[in-house]
Amino acid sequence: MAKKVVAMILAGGKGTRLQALTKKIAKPAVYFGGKYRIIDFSLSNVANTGISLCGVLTQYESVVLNNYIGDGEKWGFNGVQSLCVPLPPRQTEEGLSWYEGTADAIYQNIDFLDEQDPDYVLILSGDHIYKTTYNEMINQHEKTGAACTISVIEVDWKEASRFGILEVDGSDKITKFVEKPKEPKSNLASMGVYIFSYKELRKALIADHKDSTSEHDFGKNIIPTFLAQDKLLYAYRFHGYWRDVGTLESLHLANMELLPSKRNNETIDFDTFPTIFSEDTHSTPQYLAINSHAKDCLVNQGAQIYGDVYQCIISNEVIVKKGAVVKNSVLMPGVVIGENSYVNNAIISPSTAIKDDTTINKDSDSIVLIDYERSLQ
Amino acid sequence: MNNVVALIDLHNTTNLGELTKNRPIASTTFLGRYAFIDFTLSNISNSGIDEIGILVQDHSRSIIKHLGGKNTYLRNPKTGFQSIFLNERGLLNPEFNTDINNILENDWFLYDNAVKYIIVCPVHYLMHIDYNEVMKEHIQSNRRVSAVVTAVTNADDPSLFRAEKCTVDPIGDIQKFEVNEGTNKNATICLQTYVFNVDFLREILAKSNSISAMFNINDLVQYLGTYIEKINAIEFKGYFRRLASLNDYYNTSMEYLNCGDDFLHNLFIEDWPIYTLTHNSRPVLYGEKAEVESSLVANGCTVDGTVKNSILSRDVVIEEGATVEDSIIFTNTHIGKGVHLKNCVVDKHCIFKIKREVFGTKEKPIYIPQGEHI
Repeated sequence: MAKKVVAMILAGGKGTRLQALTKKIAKPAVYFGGKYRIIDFSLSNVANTGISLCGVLTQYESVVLNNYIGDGEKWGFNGVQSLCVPLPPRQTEEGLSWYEGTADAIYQNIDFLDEQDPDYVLILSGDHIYKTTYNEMINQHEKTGAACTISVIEVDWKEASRFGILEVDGSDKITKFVEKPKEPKSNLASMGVYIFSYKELRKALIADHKDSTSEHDFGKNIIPTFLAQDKLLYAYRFHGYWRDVGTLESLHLANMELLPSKRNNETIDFDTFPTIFSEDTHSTPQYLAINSHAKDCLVNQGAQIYGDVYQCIISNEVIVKKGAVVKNSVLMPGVVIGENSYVNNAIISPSTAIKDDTTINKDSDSIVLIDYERSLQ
Repeated sequence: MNNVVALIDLHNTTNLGELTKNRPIASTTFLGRYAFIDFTLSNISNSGIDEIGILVQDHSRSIIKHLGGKNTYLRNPKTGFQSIFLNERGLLNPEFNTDINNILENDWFLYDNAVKYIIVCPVHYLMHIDYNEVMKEHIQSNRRVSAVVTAVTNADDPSLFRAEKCTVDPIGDIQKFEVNEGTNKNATICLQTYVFNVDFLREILAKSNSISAMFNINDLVQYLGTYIEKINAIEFKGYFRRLASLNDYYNTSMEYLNCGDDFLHNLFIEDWPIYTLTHNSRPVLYGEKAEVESSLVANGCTVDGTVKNSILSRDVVIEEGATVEDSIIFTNTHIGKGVHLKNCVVDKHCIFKIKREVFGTKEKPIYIPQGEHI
């Protein structure tokens, strides 16, 4: 009988560097690729792995996200013996307490995990763009008998000091974990994807909760403590496309990488397994009017294009009016670009209307975010 | 409306020539993203009716596949229902496979105390109709049967040929039914939408087989109107199209492509969403060489060639150097380099590999059947 795995997705962060995009929604709920939200990737990966029990830890602006997750039907978590549930902070006998860190968020839901009684717990971040199944990683974890397996990706040596870096021995056993090292001795960066044997995790979380000096963070506290206790920790090497879209620039770039002209072997291909599931809106068909141009674009249903769009990601219910030219931009759902407007290198946040004859970011290489308030100026 | 059951009648429909050889019109693709039954189901759903019976004549696989789960159209699948009604005995006796015999086979809903009215809806009339208004008028009329009618000034149009025509008296009752032969431009067309008080329907269905076992609902209503019962005419003033041939299908589809800023008119009304089964397809990818205008494109398509005045359904591939004009391409068809299609309707899963031209005309579009490799 296969081991029972419960996935816990950390989706409570604000994503401050995404500025106004996360003013009313958490980062995992930010739109991506014309049709998707960032958290679709993690949830679809879990579904495609064959895991049917999934908790999503929400905190910052949790209403939109909780509502979006619903009963998990969008990713198929509504079948028999399946469960997908948003887990925002709650009031308990001890009072109301916010999630004080990644580990604390899981700690506060130990009762949920106990009820599911898993062998392993898969902990994921809800704000990464990548396509995978975790089966190989789970197999490796089972084979090595590790207390924890951490998914790592080789990053550019120059960039290594931005990440949590793992040092490993010849068998990929983890010997050291350093958060954002000044002089990295390895280029294996933690992806924030962990598999824990639940017994070990449970013990560690309870101990960590009692430690008043702890920041209750997996990277900063739980993993170093495991290493100090000589527990068996292994790295699992992930190969392929993986993006942390923490800034406007990286969000824009990851969107642009979906365009036909920017594709390579690694970039996300929505046509092959694993499939990314998402909400299918009750949109009208996509319409390209007479004299419109759409080149090198990804355009979702419900969009209406009367002007010209080049190298754009265009979401549902977007209207690009006559004479408008949009280049190199990401238009989120419900955006309207007014007649004869010109938009370049922009991310336009949902339901923002750009007035007629407006010029945005012309001849500029930097990325600009236009939200509803900025559109009024 | 808790006391109304809507029946969608897939027995008394038209056919679209070769297009509906292996599928009913109800599940035939329309505008790249929908099937005709979606418009009927969405009208029902948006009118707040959550109890729906679908009277399936044949090709039930195609219908069941399109309907998907119960929560595509229903608001609450627990309190409401969406059932497929089959006349299983009728499958062996095509002459007796009528909507009336189908209802008689599945008549449990007629004995539900909460149900007061039955509304019968067609799939071959494309329209935006609010059944709340229809119900209101029916109740006001105090009649036991109503039929929805509309006045037209183009009764000589081929799409209305052999539609049901009727004459309405000044009180608002239907005097007589006849078949529209297109002799006059002005006529009142019956939209094959009927409302029955449930106790009356029960009563009359019990007798209908003794009148004729081959009667369908149209025949029954006409018979009632002629001999037994006053039938209230409810006038519908909105947009409608009747689809009765491949040409009607082609022309009605093309109407949506050249209406300027207002392509959503008539069918796609605000707060009146059209629901359909969705397929997790990605957004459309347009390549650097893509030239697309006046077209509707469904998700999952990849376009690198030229598409003008056309409709592409899900997962269609148009390679660079391919040209599609004034055509309708169904799901999963692949148009290769150098292929030039004009005025064609290409069914599902076709592959055009070799460079060639296929030109139909506006009056006579060429139909290419499912799965052709050319």
